[in-house]
Amino acid sequence: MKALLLKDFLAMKSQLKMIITILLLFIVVSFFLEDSFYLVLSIFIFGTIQVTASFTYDEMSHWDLYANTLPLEKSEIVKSKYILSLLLSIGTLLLFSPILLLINYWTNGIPLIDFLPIICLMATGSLIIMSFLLPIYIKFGPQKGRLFLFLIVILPIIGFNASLSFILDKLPPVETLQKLSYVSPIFGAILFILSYMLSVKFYETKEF
Amino acid sequence: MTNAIEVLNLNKKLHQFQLRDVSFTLPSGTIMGFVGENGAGKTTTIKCLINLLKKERGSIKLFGLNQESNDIAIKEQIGVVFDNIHFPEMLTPKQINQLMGAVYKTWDHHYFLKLLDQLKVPIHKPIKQLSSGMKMKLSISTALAHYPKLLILDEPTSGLDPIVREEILDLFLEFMQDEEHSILFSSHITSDLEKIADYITFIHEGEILFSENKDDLLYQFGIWKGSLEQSKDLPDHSKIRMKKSPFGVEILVKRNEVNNAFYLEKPTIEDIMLFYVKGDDIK
Repeated sequence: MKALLLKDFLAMKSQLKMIITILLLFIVVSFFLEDSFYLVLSIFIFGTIQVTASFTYDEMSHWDLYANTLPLEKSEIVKSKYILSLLLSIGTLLLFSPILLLINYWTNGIPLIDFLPIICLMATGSLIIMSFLLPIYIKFGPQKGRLFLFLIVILPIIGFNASLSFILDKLPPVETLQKLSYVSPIFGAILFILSYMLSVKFYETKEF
Repeated sequence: MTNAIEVLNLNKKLHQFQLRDVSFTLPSGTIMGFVGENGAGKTTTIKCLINLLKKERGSIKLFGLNQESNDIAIKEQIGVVFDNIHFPEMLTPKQINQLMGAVYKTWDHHYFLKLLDQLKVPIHKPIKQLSSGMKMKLSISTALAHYPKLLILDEPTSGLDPIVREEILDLFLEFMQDEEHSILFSSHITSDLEKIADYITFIHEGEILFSENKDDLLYQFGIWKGSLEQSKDLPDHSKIRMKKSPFGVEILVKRNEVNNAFYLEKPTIEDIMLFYVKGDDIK
């Protein structure tokens, strides 16, 4: 497991300068626009892109062919991708939380009590996207996976826009929504675990 | 003596291609050359051996252990080398040392660096900046640094110049100094196998045509050259395969079934391969 994560992070290291530059850019943009939402969004996109990039590096080098000659359980290979995606999305979000809060404080943004539900919802969103994305990437590889990524991102947006007025009418009170947002990561986590189990099944039937 | 590899009636279907009842045994302490033309089934067989492809029928044992139920224990004791290196190309040999140390319990960091130094592979350059010879040397060093008992090599010398090939063959011979060590070496560069192999297994269109001791094999066959008319003097039961040449015919015969009066040339593995692939069965 450690070796697999190390491999992904070492491969990512070559892009470290670019990643830091982009994140700094978003910190500056968030600060000047007095809206930390851009930073949250960039972290969110950054995490997803890096996970998909790790699959692309693997595919380009035929890493899975080699990894399966090593004394590594197939479930371990799958688990490493799930842990990588957690570290890159929620881990980075937590890592940047102090900066987010600082920007929010300096720019007199939304109150802290409203900020936490947003982070919770972002974490849940990230878990849900990864839960769909990872089995698809594991089953079909990054080439076809990219098409699915597009659908995973675009379909909820279309669906949300189409049903916006309906949703707004039916929404429960704000307090209930806030409470729901706090527990939402639990549902995200359950979906994430189920997705992992499905991915292991996919990976076990794969031939290289 | 235990066997490093025992394959019995292995069957596997892949698209248009099929392995049919592939059987061979690699005794411990020996090198087996696995030969056959491109697409004959060498890589498919190797992939089945290491469980990269799932077999349909048959039995595969490595070190006497059933391959399917002892997957991890077997993989701790083997080193696999393909014709290409399969690490992300931005990694450096130094980083590979770091990550492989986390894969194998028996990984020896110092031995790995010593091998790279001996082979003059730069440790700080990313893989993408290494020549194909360097990449192969890195790949082989990676396969050796956890002290495997068996090396499985799939075309490791193809596309390399003779100097690098010689260095790599020396490395394999060094590995074979330990009498428990064994090598399965697939290649279509038969001259490499002639230098180092103890056994030759020949696969053609998914079937094993022979799997024999190299010296016995080369001694057992002879090549007779002459006209079609003259060939009628050869005993029929000695003839195995025949090829037409611009000067008449060439016939692969069983040496001990032909009278000494007939002049027979000593075949190479490549000759035997060509007779089986290009020649006609005359039985």
